[in-house]
Amino acid sequence: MPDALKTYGFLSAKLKARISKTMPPETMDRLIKARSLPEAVQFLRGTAYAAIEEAYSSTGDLRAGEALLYERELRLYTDLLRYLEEPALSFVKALAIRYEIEQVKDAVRLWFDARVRGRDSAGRTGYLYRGTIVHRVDVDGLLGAADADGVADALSGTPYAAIARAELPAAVSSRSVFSFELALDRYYYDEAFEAAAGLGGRDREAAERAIGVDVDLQNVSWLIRFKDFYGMGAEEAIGRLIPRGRAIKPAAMAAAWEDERGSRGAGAIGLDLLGRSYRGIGALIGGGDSAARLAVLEAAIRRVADDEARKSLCGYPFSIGVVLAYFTKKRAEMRAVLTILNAKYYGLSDERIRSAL
Amino acid sequence: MMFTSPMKLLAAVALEADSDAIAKELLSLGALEMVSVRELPGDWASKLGKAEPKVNLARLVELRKRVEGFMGMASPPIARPALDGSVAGEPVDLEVANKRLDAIAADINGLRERQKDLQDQILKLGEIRRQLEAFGDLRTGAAASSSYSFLSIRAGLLPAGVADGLREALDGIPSVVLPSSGQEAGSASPARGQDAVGVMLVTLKRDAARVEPILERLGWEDARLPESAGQGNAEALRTVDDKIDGLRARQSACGDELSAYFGSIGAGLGSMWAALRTEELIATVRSGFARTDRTVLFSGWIPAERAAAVEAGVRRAASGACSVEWLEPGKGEAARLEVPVEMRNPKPLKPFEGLVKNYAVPEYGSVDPTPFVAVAYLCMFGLMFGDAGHGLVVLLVGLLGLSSARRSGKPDNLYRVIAYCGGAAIVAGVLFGSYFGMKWLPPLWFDYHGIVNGHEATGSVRTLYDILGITIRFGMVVLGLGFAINWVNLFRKRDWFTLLLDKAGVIGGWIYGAGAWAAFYYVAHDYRELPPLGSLALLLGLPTMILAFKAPLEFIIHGRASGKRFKPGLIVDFIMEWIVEVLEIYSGYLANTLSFMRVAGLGIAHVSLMTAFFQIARMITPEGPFSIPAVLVLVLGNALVIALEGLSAGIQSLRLNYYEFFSKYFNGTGKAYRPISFKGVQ
Repeated sequence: MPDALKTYGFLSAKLKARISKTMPPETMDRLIKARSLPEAVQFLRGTAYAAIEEAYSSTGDLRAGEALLYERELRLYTDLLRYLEEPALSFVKALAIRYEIEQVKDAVRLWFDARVRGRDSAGRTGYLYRGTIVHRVDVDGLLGAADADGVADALSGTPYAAIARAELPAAVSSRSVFSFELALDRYYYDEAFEAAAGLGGRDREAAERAIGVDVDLQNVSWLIRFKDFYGMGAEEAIGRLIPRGRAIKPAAMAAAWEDERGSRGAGAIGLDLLGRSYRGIGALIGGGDSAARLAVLEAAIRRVADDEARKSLCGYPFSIGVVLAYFTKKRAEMRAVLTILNAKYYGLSDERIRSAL
Repeated sequence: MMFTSPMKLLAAVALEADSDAIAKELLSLGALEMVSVRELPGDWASKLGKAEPKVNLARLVELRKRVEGFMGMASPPIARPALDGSVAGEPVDLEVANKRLDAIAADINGLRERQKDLQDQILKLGEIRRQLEAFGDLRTGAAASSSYSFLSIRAGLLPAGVADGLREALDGIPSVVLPSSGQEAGSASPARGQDAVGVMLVTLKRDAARVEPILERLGWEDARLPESAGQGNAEALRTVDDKIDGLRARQSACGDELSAYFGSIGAGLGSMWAALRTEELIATVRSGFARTDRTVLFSGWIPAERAAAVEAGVRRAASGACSVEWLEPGKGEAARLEVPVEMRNPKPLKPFEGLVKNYAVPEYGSVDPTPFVAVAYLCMFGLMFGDAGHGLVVLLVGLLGLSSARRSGKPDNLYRVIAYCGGAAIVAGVLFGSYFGMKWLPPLWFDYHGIVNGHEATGSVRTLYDILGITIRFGMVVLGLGFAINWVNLFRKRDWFTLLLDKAGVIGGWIYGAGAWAAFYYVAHDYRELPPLGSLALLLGLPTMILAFKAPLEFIIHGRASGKRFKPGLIVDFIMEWIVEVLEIYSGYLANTLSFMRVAGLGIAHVSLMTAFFQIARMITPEGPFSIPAVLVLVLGNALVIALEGLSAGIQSLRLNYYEFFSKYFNGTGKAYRPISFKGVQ
């Protein structure tokens, strides 16, 4: 495998070195136990999250730290592109679309709040990422757009303009951006699968497996929203799901939906699907009432993603799996750190924080 | 220094009432490595209880860490006071300490909130700025602000006397106030005449509820935006920038305020930390005591030379009401206890002690190899990196690192080793006459560059083979020293069998010495004549044959004791064992010795690289003094050689010590001595 070694040797070493800097459980524990936000932030000195501490010390603003950290992580991601050659380069660029979609979603949500819902978004736009990830997104133009067409114009030159033209008018009239965001996510997965198809055998397998797991988790999460919040019928809901999950096929979802109609909530259906499809999750889900099981769903989803990342890291090191695993783990860690800090800001108890992690 | 420190085991009983004073004294002395009394043999252990904690240790630790967190928040961090046991008087009231820390947290939080308020204003002004930039001029902005922008851009008139007050009144609200020169044109109230001044005001629509009452109070009257507003954008942007700068300065002032705050509470935090830490350490030591109804029992290892001082200290703390007993390692009740190893070397050798410990801790009572490692390591480094100029650079790097480590309070052993290596390279460079690859002074020993580059040389070292010979002889000295140390260790352990028949024992040394003699004899006779057969038979054949008896003897001495019975098949085992051992000795020692040729190899590589850079420089400037590009090549070349060769020489020297030298004698089964003290467990 000389090519795989050449392609991934340096990248694998670089990312594994970064993974070794993962925040140890004792530091997480100290963060949780900290009695106040300034004390918690203090523990981030000298860690990969020092950016938060730096920003917080100079501005007192936690979100400024989050924005800085996000920006640095994005820079690392885009820096990786330098070390890659085709077809892995196209694949990683396709994955970077996920970050860009988050950037577009954040901007559109603020625009939507201000223009459609008439809420005040002043001050919040300062945290938006304005750099270029894959395509140049005119964030300020988007925020200043007068209407949905204006948003589409601001997104011109990106694949999101067409999605905005197709979905935003309906989103404005229904006063919900969910369908627009759904279309963006579908676009991302289509691109990711297409780019994965261009990879070599072992890489394609690892990539499709990782994205497939992601799709499963996303589908289960959407399923719940479709049923519980939007009251959709099974056919419509299943039609909106992405049909390329790794373990949970739309037919299985439809069957679960029909079997359980009227008797249990969507959360229970989602958990059962996860439990049946991923070994080890069943034990985590366990019993309990529907509400408790629903609360466990998110933890179960994270556990599945984490298990998959760990498998990739333990396996063959010279494949795209290491890149995928790094970003899965990094996202999970960032989420945990930010959850703790925000909980400290709002003065939540240690127990509540632990239950949210 | 020659051997690891002899240790003694203290076993003492004192009154429970004196336990705190004793714990404090033991911490002050910093000499005792505690051993649980229950580990001592005897059936009385089950009758002992555990000393009752007087404080909540977990809570103490939690509070101490919290204080450390606050001390670390200060810039520069508040230094932790040195502990000597004088702080602890009355027990710390944990509740009061906790409340004090909560109050500090609240103060800091309040300051951060103020910083955040300022940050909110900065972000909003940033938005105003982005919008103004997007509009291009204020008139366009005003038109847009009437529809979908979240900016409110308006013009108006204010009584002349209060116009300046508007800025003050809007303090805290993100806004831009600009004087307008065209007020008359847009005046909605001509009656005001000359008393009114025009003002353009940019705010966020969300702040309308706060802005309107202020405008009303000041007598604001809306007016048409003047024609000049088209050019007002630049001024508006400047005003926004000035405001943002002002807010940033106020944020920075909050940082200064925090520094001042920590300055005011620093001493208090330091004292609180010292009290908590002292109490925590005393409680930790006490938790290792065993107790009966009225007494406490404790035990631990102490270097023999400090035993008298520790005994006097314990008696003093217990006012004489104690019983102290000393036990020797490996004897009586201490027989089954593992003895910790203290390596006691003078300060200059401490960095090399670190290199030894990095490999493993030597066995208790064995030779401490630190001084030998120091000499061997530096000799190897010097031979591989023999250039006085490069050595000077390495020395400076080491000294700089040392100074930086001292300032930051971080360990400095690595920098000390680097500085020593620099010194060794300078000495070697002077011996070889090499200064940044140039020959500024004649060599005191031999011209390394000249020999490598094929120049004619005089003296005892003239060819590359001579250099290789030096390193092989050096290797033989190192390996011979390894044998000698091993024999001393085995003699002290009274392990006669291993001393005589092990491959690193006397028989191994005999074969190695005879082999070396035979090899030199062969070389001295131009590779044409071996030593006389009789000598070879006596010097190599005899010890090789003696080795054949090792396995049977081992079976007789040790095997029978462990219940093994003789079977005919064992004879084949004995023969195989003998053959394997002979092969191991002959091939292993040959490889060990030739391994030292890497010392010459790296030295030659060092010289060759420098020669190559000089040749490149000469290609750039064929004649006369070097041009600037040529000097640049030489400077970069030297830097590259220092970095690459320095690293290689350092690693190879370590490898030769760890693998070739240590494998002859080192038994890294020791446990490091870690006494309790006010500095924590060392």
